[in-house]
Amino acid sequence: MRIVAEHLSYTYNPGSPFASAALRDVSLTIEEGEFFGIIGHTGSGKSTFVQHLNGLLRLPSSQKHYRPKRLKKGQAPPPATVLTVGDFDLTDKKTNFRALRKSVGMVFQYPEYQLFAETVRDDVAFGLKNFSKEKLSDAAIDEAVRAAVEVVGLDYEELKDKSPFELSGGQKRRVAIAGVIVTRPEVLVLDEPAAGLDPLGKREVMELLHKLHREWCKTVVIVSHDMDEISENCTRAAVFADGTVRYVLPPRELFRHAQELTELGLDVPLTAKLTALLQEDGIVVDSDFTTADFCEKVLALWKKRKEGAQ
Amino acid sequence: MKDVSFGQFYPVDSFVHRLDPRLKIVFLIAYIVAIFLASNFYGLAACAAVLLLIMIAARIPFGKVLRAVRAVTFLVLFTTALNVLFYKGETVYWTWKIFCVSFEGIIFSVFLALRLVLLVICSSMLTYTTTPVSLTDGVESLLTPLKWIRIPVHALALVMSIALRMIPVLMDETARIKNAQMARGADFESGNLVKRVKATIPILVPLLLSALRRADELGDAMDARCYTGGNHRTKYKKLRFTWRDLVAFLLVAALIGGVVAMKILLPAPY
Amino acid sequence: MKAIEFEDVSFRYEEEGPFAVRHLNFSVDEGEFVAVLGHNGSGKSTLARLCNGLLTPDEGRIRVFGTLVGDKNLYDVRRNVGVVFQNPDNQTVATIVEDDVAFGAENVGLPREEIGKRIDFALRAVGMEQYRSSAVARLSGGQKQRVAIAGVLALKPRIVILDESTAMLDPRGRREIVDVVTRLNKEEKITVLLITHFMEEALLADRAVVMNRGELVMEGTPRSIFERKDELVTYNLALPRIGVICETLRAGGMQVNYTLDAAALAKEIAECVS
Repeated sequence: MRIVAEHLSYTYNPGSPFASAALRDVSLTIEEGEFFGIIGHTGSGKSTFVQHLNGLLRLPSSQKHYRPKRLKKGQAPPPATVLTVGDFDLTDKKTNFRALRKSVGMVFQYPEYQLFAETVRDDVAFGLKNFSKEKLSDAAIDEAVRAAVEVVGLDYEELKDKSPFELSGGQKRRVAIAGVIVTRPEVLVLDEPAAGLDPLGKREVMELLHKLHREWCKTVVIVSHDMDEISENCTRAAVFADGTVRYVLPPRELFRHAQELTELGLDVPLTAKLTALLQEDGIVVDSDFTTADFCEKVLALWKKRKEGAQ
Repeated sequence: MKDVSFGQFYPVDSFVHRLDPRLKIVFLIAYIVAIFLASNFYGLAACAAVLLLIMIAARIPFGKVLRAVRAVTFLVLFTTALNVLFYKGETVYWTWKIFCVSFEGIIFSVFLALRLVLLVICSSMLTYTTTPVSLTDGVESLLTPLKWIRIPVHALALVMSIALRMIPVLMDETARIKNAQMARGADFESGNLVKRVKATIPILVPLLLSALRRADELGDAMDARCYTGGNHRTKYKKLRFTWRDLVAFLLVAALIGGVVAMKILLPAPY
Repeated sequence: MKAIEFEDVSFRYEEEGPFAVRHLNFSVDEGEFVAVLGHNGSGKSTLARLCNGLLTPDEGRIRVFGTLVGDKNLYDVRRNVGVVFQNPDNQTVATIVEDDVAFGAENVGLPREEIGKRIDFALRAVGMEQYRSSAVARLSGGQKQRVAIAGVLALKPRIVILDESTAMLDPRGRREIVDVVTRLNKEEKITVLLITHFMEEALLADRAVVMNRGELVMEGTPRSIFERKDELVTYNLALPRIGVICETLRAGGMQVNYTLDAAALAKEIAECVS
C-alpha cells in the first residue's frame, strides 16, 4: 500500500488559547515496500503524522479549521488535502477506519506497557478477535497467534499460558509487537521501537524488523532519534522540524546535509561526521554512511594511495 | 493533552490572583453565607455588585464566567421549573391538579435561581484566580488546627499536591494506552453498557499497573530526598497577608454588614 | 578518601531467589567520575539503591565516606548521596519547578532563607534558572531530569548517582544531562556514579566498570575497556560506533591508533590516506 499525504495540516486544541500547530502543509509519499525512517525532535510533528496513518487522528473533523469559510475576491482556494493509504481515502468520513487499522499496524513507544491480558495467548489474540467479522474458532486463533509469536522469535508452547507480566523486558516488547502484527498488516509503523533497550536488545529489535519486512509486512515505517539506526537500516528518511518536512531522501544523500541537520539541532551518524571532517582536509569519502561501506571506502582510498606510492 | 491546564486556573496577573489563598477560601465561605442571608433583591443586588467588582479586579473575561454558568444551566432551569409549579402563592394565575403557578412563586423561583447563579460564579472565581498549588497550601494552612486532634494535615496536603502533579501525566498515559488499544481494533463507542464496561479493561489494567509502578518509583525518589514525614520539616513558601488582603477583607466585611443591615432595615417581602 | 566502598556485598530481592548483586568489591574515590555499564538486568540499578540505603545488603558492608550504611544513619547517608532515577515523570512531587527543588531541603528542616539560596544554587548548576516558576508538566524530558538533578543538589550531596537517568531521553536531552553531570564533577567537585547502557556516555568518565549477572567483571579506563571488544560482547554489550570503525579499519590493515574521539580519528585517517 502506498501512503500519500499532500498539504496535510493539523492543530491541537484549535480555537483555544492552547492551540498549537503540529503539522503545517506536509506533503510526503511512502512507497510500498520501503523501510522508511522518520526523524525529528520531540514536538517536530512526527508522532502527529504517524498517528494520521491509521486514523487515530481524524482528518474529517479537524479539516474545517484550515479552510476559510468564505474566500476573498480573487483569492485562490487553498490546495486540497490528500491523505491516502492504499485505497483508503482518509479525508473521507465514510472510510472504514477499522479495516484501515487492520491493514496499518501501529506499535507505540514502550508497547510493553499496553499489555493487559492474563496470558500471552490472550493478549496477542486481542487484536485478532477485534478485527475479525465473525467469531473465530480456537484452532484458528491458536494458529495465527502461534505464527505471530514465533516470527518475533519467542517459543509459543513455553509462553502461551504465562502471564505477560512475568516476562523479561525484551520478551514483553516482542509479545507487544506480536499483538500488533498478528492481523498481518501490510504496513507496520513503529514509534521508537528500540527505546530503553540495551545495545544487544536494540540490535535484536532492528534485526526483527528486517525479518518482518522480508516475511510479514510489505512496508515498515520507523520513527527514531537514532541517526545510526536510520543510516544503517532505512531505504529513505523524512526529516520533520516545526511541523514541516525538510528533507525526504535516501540516507546516502540525506547525511550529506550534515551541516543543515546540525543546524536543526539534530544529530548525524558518526560516519557523516567523519566524512565532513575529512572533507575539510580535502579527502572525499563517497559512502552510503553505513559503517561497513564507510570503512570499505576508506580502506579503498588507503590501498590506492599505497599502490601509488610504490 | 497536557496543555489543557487542570482546574480552571486563568493565568493573568491581577489584584485578586495575588490575594492570599487562605483569605480567598474564607471569603468564598463568607460570600456564600452572605448570599443565603440576603432575603430580598436588594441584598442579592449588593452581592452581585461585589461579584462584578471582583470579576473586573480579577481581569477574567465575561465569556469565561458565562461558561461556568452554562455548565449548570440544566440544574438552574430544572429547579426553577419545580419551584414555579409547586410554590403555593396567593396571586394564582393557573392551576392544574397539584400544580399551581402564582406571582409569588415566580418571584421566589427567580430569586433562588439568581442565588444559584451567584454561587456558581463566585466558586469559579476562586478556581479561576488560584493555582491548584496555592489552593492546596491554603487548605493545609486553614486545616492546621486539626493537627491538635492528630489528623495528619501535612500528609493529606502532600497527597493532594502529588495528585495534582500526576493528573496531567496520567491523562497523557490514558490517551496513549487508549490509542494503542484502538490501533489493535478495540472499540469503546458501540455496544450495550456491559460491553462498554468490558471494553475498558484493556485500558484500566495497564493504567493501574502504570500508576502502581509510578507510585513505587516516586516513593523511592522521595525517600532518596530524605522524606520522613511531616516532623521537623520546614516550608519554603510562607503565606503572608499584604495590603491587598486587608482591602479585600474590608470589602467583604462591608458586604456582609450591608446584607444584614438590609435584612433588618428593608423588610420587603422579596 | 574513599567516597563509596563495597566490601563483599551480596543482595537478592527474594529469599531463595537469584542474587541481583554477588560478592561485590568495589570503591569510588572522592571526586571521581565512574561509569557503570551493563545490560538490562545486570544488577547495575541495584547498586544505586544499595549506596543510599534504599536496599540493605544481605551480606557484606557498604561505607560512604567511611561511615557504615545502616538503619540508624540513613538520613545522613541520603544527605550525602543523591540519586536521580530513570523516569523523568516519576520523581517530581510538586507542580512548579521551585517547589519541587525545595522538597528535599524542606525535608531536612533548613531555614527558609537557606532553602531559597539552595534553590538558586541548584537551578543555576543545572542551567534551569529561567524556569523557576514554570510548571513541571510543560518541560521537555531533558529539562525534567535537570529539575530532578536540581532537587537532589538542593541537599548539597557530595555524591550524585544517576541511575539510568538518560535511558528515556532523546539525544538532545541525553546531551543536556551528560553536560550537567560533567560540569558538576569538574566544577563542584562532586563524585559522580553514572549508571548507563549508552556506551558513548562512558567515554567521559575517569573510570568505567562493567557488571554482568550481579558481578563486577571489567574495570579500567573507558578506553581500556573498549579495547577488550570480544569480552564486552559476551556481556551483551557492544562497542560504541567509533570503536567499531577503528576496529574495522585496523582489521583491514590500516594503522590507525585506537581513539574514541571523532576529530582525532578523522586526523588519523587523513594521515593514512593522503
